[in-house]
Amino acid sequence: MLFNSFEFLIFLPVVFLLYWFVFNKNLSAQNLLILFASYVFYGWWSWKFMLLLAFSTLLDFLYGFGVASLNKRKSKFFLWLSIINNLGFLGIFKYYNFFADQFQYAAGSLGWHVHPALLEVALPVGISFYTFHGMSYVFDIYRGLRKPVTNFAEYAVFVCFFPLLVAGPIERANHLLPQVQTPRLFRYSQAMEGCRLLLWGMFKKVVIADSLAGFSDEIIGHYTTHSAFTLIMGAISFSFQVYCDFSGYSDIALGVAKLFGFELLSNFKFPYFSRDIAEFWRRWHISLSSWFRDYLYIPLGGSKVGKLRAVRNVFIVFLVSGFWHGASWNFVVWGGIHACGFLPLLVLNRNRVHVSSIVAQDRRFPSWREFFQMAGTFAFVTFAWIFFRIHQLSTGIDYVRRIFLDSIRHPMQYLKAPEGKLILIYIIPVLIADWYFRRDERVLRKLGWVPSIVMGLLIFYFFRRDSSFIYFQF
Amino acid sequence: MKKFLIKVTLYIVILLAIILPVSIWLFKKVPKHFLLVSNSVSYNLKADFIRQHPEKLEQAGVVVVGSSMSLNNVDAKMIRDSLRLPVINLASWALNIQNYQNSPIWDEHKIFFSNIGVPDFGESRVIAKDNYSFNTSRVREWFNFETDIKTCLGMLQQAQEVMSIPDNSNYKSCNFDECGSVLFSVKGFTYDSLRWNADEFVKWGVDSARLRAYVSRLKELTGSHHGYSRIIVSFSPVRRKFYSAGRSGMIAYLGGLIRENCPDVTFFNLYDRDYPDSVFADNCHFNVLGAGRFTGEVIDSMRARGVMGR
Repeated sequence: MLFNSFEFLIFLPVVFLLYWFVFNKNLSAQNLLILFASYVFYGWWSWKFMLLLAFSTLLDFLYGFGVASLNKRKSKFFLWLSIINNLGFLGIFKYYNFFADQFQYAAGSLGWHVHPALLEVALPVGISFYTFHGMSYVFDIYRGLRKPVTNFAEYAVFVCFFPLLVAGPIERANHLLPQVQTPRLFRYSQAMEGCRLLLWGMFKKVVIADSLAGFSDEIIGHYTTHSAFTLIMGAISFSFQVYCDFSGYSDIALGVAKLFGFELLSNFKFPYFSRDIAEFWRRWHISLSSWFRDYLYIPLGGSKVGKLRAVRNVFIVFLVSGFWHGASWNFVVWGGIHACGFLPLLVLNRNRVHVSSIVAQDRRFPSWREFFQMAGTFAFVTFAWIFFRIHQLSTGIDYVRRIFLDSIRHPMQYLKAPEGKLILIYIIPVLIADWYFRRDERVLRKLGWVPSIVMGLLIFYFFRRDSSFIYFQF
Repeated sequence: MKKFLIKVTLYIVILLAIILPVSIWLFKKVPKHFLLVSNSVSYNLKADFIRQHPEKLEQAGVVVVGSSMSLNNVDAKMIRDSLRLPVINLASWALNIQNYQNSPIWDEHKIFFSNIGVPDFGESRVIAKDNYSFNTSRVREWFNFETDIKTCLGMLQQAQEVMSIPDNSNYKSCNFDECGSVLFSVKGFTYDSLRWNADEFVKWGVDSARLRAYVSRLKELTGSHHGYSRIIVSFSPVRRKFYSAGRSGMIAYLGGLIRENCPDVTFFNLYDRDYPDSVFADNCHFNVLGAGRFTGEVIDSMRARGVMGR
């Protein structure tokens, strides 16, 4: 089921009313209702893959007990079993066809013609997210950060709580499980905040991201016929499309969770106001980047193992993160570009310069220095998005090549009004809203009646049944 | 909780108070000859065409199905005159074979012909109400909220634009001939440089996975209608500028896949044919000259292969 669907418009109030009016006396009953609702939410897309979700959940729940064993060898054995199991699911459903294709190609170039069997099944929605939930739970037990849960329903709610089931945020056991295990009280302020986040997220997705998708699809799809300026506009359009699409989804997830008394991890903190790539990754898809930091980068030694190994670690994390997004080389390249952007900061020990501050901290506008830092970071990130969006590597390279060549051949084009300038109509409101609220991520406390109604009408007007979220494919 | 529920209810009431009158006003603007059965203007107009001439579908010996590659590239009248069989062209913009899955047309002994091109390897973007597929008994003409407001608004605007084009001098023309085809005129045609110069292969990112997905859908379709129908699929040429041997290899691979998986389907690969630019309306759609030449070659191929009477 999609958040932006009529089904969800019925589903959410029904579950909400049952949750607070029928099952409100008993915590276990509330958890079971959430579990049931989450499976209905997931099964709406494919009931067959519900079994995979249930099986994966059960395995990690059981592994948790094994990992908690005092016997270190046994504990390690179950940890590896969980890793193999989760990565195995990902490997089969997400990466098998890719590797089979690569093998066929490599063997073919050596004159050996093989035709490996290919899996003709769809990628289970959310598999990259729920397997990471399971692994983080097992990792945390192994590291002694928490004890295994004894109630399966509670654990299952942690893994498949419907707002975060298909596209995150990737929750941590220590953050979400305690909330699952303690009674939730209805709080007016939390519920209203949830509604505003839901509305804002829906606005970003339906009005901004889906409209920008039309521009970026058109420009990138016909890139050979456009000028350099238009190609740049296409890339910028995709930058904001992917941001509004994914952060919109995260806002809706956070908002819906609040309606049920839960607080989820924040996933975005105005990433396009970052002053360098390191800051960008502390503000973009935070739950994933912190997951990789805690469960991959730090176990590899992080930055405290000498410069060369630290560089290696950075590359591993970014390349794996790229590959996590999809079984295609373009995602690996995208990760590699970000690693290259991060590297100078790491080498010069400047990767933690902007850890605690935000841009224009006590001012209304940024300084020139900050402005150029932000513009540079945005340009770099947008350049990398080209390779994220265009799956064929050669096409991505050609897109970039055309931007440079056409700029050299026709420099005067930058003085004319560009094609696709309508893109700005969609981008500017988001930039203004983000800038205005950048000090307080709980943006919409002050959203009044008139803006709420205008946003509601715009959502209704712009709504399309056939629109899905970009991050569902991962 | 009470305060929360009152506030949310009030919000919804205000929204509905604005939305409902607007929806009623919109419904009144629906043109007379326009069935609101899908999010595609062309499909809606074709639905109305069939509603007005149901006998054309009932009596048809050959049914042309598919996207604009069949709507604009296949001269149905030429097939009718050459084979002396009633022919109806049911194709419409962006329709894919899966859109015909639930259609009643498959229950009869007809020959189905679909011409395809690169755009046909993606998923269809046409969403039909109640799985409508030329089944007039299920058509609901009244507005309902399943058809979203933006699609509806966009469609009405487009419908007025499309219906105001008097001839076939525009890509958006939907003036069906007596067999349901739309053949682009040569004189006075409004060419679009974007469409003329766009490389469809790059635009759609055709790879072996997409070809396999298409064949899998075709297999599903032929499997569910096994024994009823003969299906002929052809692949039409593109402007020579966009022809490549590598792509030709991919189409040949597609032919192999169809032969292997769908033995009831006859595949004619005409991708390699060298057609001059003068018969094209854009990179892959023909004008009336191209459609005639192409359809003639398909008919010859049918005869040569014994699919139709010699």
